[in-house]
Amino acid sequence: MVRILQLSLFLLVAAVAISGCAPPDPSFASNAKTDLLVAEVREAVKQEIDDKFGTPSHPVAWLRMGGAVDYGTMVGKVEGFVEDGDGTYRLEVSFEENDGAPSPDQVEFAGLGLVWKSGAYANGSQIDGGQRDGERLFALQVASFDVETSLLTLRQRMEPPPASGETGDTFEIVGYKLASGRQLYATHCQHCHGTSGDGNGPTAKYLNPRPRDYRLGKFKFKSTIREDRPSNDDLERIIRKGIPGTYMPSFLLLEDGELDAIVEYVKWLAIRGEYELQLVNLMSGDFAEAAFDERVETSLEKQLKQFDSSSGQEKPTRKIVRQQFLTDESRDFAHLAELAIDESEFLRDVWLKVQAADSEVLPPVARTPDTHESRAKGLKLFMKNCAACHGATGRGDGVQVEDYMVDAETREKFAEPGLFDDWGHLIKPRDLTRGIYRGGRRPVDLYRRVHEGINGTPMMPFKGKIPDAEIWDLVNYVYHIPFESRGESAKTSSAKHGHTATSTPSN
Amino acid sequence: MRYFWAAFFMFWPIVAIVLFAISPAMNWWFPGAGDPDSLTKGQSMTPLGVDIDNLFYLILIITGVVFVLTQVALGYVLFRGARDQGQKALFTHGNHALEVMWVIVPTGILLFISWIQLDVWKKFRVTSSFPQAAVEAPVAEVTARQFEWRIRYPAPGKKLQLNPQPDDLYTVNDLHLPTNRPVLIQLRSGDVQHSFFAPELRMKQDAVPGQVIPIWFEVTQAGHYQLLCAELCGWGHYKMKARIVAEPLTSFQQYLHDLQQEQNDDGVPDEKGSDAADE
Repeated sequence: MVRILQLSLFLLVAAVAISGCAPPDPSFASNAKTDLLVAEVREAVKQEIDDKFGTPSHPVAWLRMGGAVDYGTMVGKVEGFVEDGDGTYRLEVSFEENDGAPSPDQVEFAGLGLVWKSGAYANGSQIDGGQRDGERLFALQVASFDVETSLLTLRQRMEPPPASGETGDTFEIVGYKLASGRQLYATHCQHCHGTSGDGNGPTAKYLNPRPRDYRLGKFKFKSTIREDRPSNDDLERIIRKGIPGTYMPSFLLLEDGELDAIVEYVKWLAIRGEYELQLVNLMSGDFAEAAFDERVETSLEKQLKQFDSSSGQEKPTRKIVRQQFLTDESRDFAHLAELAIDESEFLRDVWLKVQAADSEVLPPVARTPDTHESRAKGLKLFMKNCAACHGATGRGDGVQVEDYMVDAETREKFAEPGLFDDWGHLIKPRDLTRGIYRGGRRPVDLYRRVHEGINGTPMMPFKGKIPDAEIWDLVNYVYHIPFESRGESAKTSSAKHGHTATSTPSN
Repeated sequence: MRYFWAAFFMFWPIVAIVLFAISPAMNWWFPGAGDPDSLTKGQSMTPLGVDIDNLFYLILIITGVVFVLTQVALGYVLFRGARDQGQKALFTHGNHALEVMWVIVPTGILLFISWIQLDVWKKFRVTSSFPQAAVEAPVAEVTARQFEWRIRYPAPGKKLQLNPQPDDLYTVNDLHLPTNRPVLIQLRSGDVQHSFFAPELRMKQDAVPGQVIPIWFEVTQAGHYQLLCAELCGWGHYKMKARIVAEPLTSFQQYLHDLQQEQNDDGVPDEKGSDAADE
């Protein structure tokens, strides 16, 4: 008896030790708004998102977003084929060397996509295991690549078998940046920003302010105009320098390639979130659970009025009408990819646009010298334009903080007083006396904050309202606020605070 | 099994000697030891750090020799006891001379250690004995916060003040220092307790909220060094990795100059046509 108990205990411990340690396969969470759709439509939306973006372990590079997101492409050429005997082939390849391309021994090839660029396969040859439709890229997947022998193995069989004429065909290996970005994101970012970039990772609940939820495509501290997406440089700058005053730390020691991969992955996550939201917006008018029920109810009432029990027809019920609706309107949600073509192209364009050099907001006039007169002008502008939120002394305690703000989405007032951002979080106007500037402390950063406002927050753009030269007066005054509370001007404060920082430590 | 305990206690001095012998090659020693490509090769990059290393070696030798000898003695006694079975044990009610010896000798050793380190401790921690040049012109203020190192330099030509100044220069996770001169850093914490740890420079000092703690060192070799947090400061403690860039005075001054240019960037190209906004 004891023997059996011992044995079963041993087996139990062994089983837990073996199975318990395998990490669960990560998955993307769907937007809370997606969950408000009718089940059938919800599934269609989820299917479409999965199709275009895959899962965290197997991300898909959606070709339509090519350019907007750099998935990482290596150009290669077929040098020859090796037949393995059972009808499978391996490709002997060489990779083109150019500036951006990584050395092949630094790339994890398994799972990356392969697209033929020239030769018979590029012209629509059937490929076992998946057809390339110009949308999904990972139809052909690399199984492995041997750096020593330059032999590339595919996960799919090559049909028809390659002929010797195919030597010299070119192809692209796509997705190395997405794959490494995914790894780096999981290591450095995911615990706060979440697997899906929803700002809801396991450590997020300890943070105030909350980590950014990328899925609205709104980023606060950037060089582009308010409504625009951030440029690559903007995201890179935030990752390198962190955001003072928040929990976003600096990741300065990441290598350039690593940083680049993270930036592309974050953009990809943002696009994924935005696309999902756009699909939901497309659908929710007709297929949000509440709206759909109402339509079914109305139709049911109408049908019941017309219903003639003597006709021998079946009496309409809610269930029947509902089913009828879903069947009749299935074309409205069955082919989401086609329905949302405008939306996806819009997304590609807005993310592509900010990569152009002219997307950067630059002041047309140089900063006004930081004189007493300039600050005095700035103070007047501050009292007129800024004090309502930031307070007369810049402490972020203006009257607006006491007021009830209207939620732009529901058009109802929030339950508590104060200012809310587009993510629904209560936020405080910046306390300017602390001298902490989240979006950077260069004059050009402050100029952009005033000129464009801060996307997703009640901080509005002042372009057109305050002339550029006067924005500089305001910036000069804002720089001065932390030193004003000491009751002396910034010019003299360094001289008067003569005691150096070398006070004796008390420990 | 007769000799088990004798063998058991003889095993550990052998382990200790083997560990001493292989540690440098296994990179279990000071950072960089055993790595021919490293800048430091296990050596301290600060003169004071060399003194600290010497103290460390001294203590390691004393404790190592004492450990090996006492273990060997213990093993020998157990071996004798196991071998000479049936022999009657010797009863003793204490030996005054012996007791005096084993009090006085360790006390002497401990007093010796505490005396020999006084000088290094004074240089390292006693503010009044800090190099005067470093005290008069602190290089930077380093503020540890969850989970990064924020650095504030005075503007070129100015002195670091206790409170931030309008023309101060700011960086994060990137501490530049001039080589071959004592540098003083004002250490602060923005939230909880952290610890400024530069292993290659043998510098470790807690950053305590509410206190400004001066630390000084002199880097003799230009290069990049690690700056880590050595106090478990929260869930992101492991993220607090930064770099110390030690460089000759002229390049350090150039660095501060460039930093100032960047920080004053208003996005409008100056006369020379450069636009530092696209750095």
